[in-house]
Amino acid sequence: MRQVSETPPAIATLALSKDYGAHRGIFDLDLDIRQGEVFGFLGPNGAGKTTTIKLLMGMIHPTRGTATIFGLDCEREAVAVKRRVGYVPGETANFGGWRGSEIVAYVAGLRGNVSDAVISSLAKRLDLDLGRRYREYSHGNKQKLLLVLAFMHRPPLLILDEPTGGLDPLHQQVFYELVREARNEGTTVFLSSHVLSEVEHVCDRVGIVREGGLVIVGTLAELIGVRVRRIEIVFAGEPPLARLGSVPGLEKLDVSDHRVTGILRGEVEPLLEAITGQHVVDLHSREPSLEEIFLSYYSGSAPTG
Amino acid sequence: MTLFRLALRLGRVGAIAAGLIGVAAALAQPLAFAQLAGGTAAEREVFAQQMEILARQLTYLLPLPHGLGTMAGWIEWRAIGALEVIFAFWAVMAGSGAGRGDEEQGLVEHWLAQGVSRGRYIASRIAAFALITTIVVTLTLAAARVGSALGKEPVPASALALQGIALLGLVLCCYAIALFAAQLVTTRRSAVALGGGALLVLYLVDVVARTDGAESIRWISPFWLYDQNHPLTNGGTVDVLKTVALYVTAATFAAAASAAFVRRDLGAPLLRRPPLDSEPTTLPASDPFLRLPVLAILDQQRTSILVWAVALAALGVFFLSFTRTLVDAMLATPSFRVYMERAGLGTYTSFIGLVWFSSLVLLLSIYAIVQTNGWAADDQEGRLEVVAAQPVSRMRIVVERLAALLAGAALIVTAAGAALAIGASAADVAIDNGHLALGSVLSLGVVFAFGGLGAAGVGWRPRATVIALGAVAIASYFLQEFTPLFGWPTPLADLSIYALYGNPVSGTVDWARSTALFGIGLIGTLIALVAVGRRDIGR
Repeated sequence: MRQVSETPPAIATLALSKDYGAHRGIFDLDLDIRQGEVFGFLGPNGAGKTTTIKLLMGMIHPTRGTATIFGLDCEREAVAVKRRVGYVPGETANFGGWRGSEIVAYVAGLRGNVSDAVISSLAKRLDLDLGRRYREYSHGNKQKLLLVLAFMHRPPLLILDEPTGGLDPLHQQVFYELVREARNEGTTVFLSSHVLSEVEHVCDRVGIVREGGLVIVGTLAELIGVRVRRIEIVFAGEPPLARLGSVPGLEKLDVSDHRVTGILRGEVEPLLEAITGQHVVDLHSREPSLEEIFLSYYSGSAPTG
Repeated sequence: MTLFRLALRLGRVGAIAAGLIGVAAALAQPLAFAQLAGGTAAEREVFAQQMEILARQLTYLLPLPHGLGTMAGWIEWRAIGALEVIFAFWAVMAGSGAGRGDEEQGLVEHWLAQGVSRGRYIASRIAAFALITTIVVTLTLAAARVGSALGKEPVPASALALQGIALLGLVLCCYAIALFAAQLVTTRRSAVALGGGALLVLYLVDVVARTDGAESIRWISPFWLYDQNHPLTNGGTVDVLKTVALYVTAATFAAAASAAFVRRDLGAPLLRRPPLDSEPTTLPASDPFLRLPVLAILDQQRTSILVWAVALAALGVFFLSFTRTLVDAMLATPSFRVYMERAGLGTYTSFIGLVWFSSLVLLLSIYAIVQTNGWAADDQEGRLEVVAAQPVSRMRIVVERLAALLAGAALIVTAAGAALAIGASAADVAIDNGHLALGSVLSLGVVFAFGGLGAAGVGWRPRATVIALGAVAIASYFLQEFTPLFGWPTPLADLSIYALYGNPVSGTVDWARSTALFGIGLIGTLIALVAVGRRDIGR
């Protein structure tokens, strides 16, 4: 195993691309995930989340660019990388008539050094009966089994592709607890999702991917508190639409009588200047929810921000 | 109509395979008859007598013969008679697939969710299979007609049509029984076991009835009902009542299967047993083999390996049970003696070495192809992704798969070889056990060759690889069988991959060819090792 002198990023990609043709895939992805953070990777279906994760796991080969995990090349040092990673794939596998206990024993045998006590503890917390056959499992139970396989060796990095799919709200909470506990122990978590509340629950930083490209990365605070605001202004008279239209970053203006609503990206100062001298009856500036931020990146033209 | 077309599409692979086998057999057997039976009435009479003796030994596999001195009688016994079992097997696979296989994959749920009624769905599947079977049977009998014409003794098309009506009734009956059996279980594998098991019992009833036994119950067997028809032989007729009984049975089981499908829950059997009181567990399995390389794969396949081992051992013993009589009968037939000598089958040992071991390597090839199919399914069903996410190299995955394939085949071959040695001793057929062991070990070369090629191709074109390997196995087998029969040039037989195996049991081992066989496996493995590193994994 290669000795690393400095603390490398948990995940680093440089111009990572996988081109499936017809503008499908992921393109020039630059990521830098620090050790110990929980990173949410957001995007709708087909945006390139699973492709990125499969590239990190060495399941598919990049068209160009590189990816490293803890300084190890995901292509050339795949075995060493996987020793450090717990992985939940985006789709559940089909193990047919195997019992859950047999699947866990088999995968533990491939990995080595897995404690039966940890497996048992995880299965108990997730309320998963390992004695049943895989084909008898519900979709949620299959997902729980994948979570057991990902967490059972206490890896320093968890790569989870939509990990709560099929889980009921009760066990979603158990999953969030597991993630929080892992983070407290120093584990890095890379979590892809399109469930925004889930990302808000557990993630430190968020990356939003659109049409194969990363459009924004930041902490939740950065995304919510600084860059985008929901604005609502009620004027006593006619709204100064021409001046409002020239405010940089003010988008999605909606006028109803004397009421103007919109999304403001960037600084507030130009907006205040635009309404100076107007009789403003009411003004609301609200941090948008992550959902609103997300949707703002998926409607209309690509944002610049 | 869309559903019907879909059902036709789902049945195409089995239909093509059954059609190819049917056409090949129906075309080749009349040509073989023209070569073997002789031209004069006296030669025909001798041939018929000898074949009658042979046929009495083969009632396990073929119906009782009628008029073996004629082309029509030969076609009825040797060509179409042999297809009974093959088409029944096809019907079981198709019935279990329609009744349970597509449901297991979630396809039925999807179709029903589109607003298709259950009755319409099952009716479409039955109607599609009926159409496919009609086409396959028609093509098969047309091939028999062409073959008999080429053999200068054309069989009347009307008689073939009547034979076709009876054969269609039998296949539909088997399909309906398998379809009904599929309603009683939850997996396709169980459906094959139940449906196939039921039909095997019914077939054995007919086998016993062929020697005048089982008189009181023989009517329950669709195979017996079918066997009572002899439209091809001189003065032969169709037993209308029994043929109608075949269709009525088919309709009854199809209706019962349809009613069961409409009534039961999706994914559940028609009759549910009370849930077992098993203690839930959160611990991994204690089976130590599951945690060891190669042994883990063998452990997962223990049931299928056991079934293969027992089946091949039983087949070997069964083969030995009639070897002595068969060889004696064939050597006593002048025309067959020529064939036997041409094929190097003059002694019991050489006969066993060539005939049984040529069947054994074919069956072992099928074992390797089944494993290859499993590797393809591993990728398509996400299991490979789970394994590849663990700290194991892709090369290790390939090596472990091939090692498990060879180890499993070794267990099967050992069981078959041991049974053959014991059976030979009991039947007083002298076999050199050293040669037997050598032949068994070298048969692993065939497994390695197919496994290596399968491993090389499966990452590139999974489904096509499985089909291509099956085509290679069938073509190789027929090339080997037909070349001495029809006096084809020897280089043609050498195109068969089994030619590299030869006949080591007889004591003559061509080491260059055996090495080539293992070389093919090695080259396939090397290609697979390179390819697996370059390919993408996942659905």
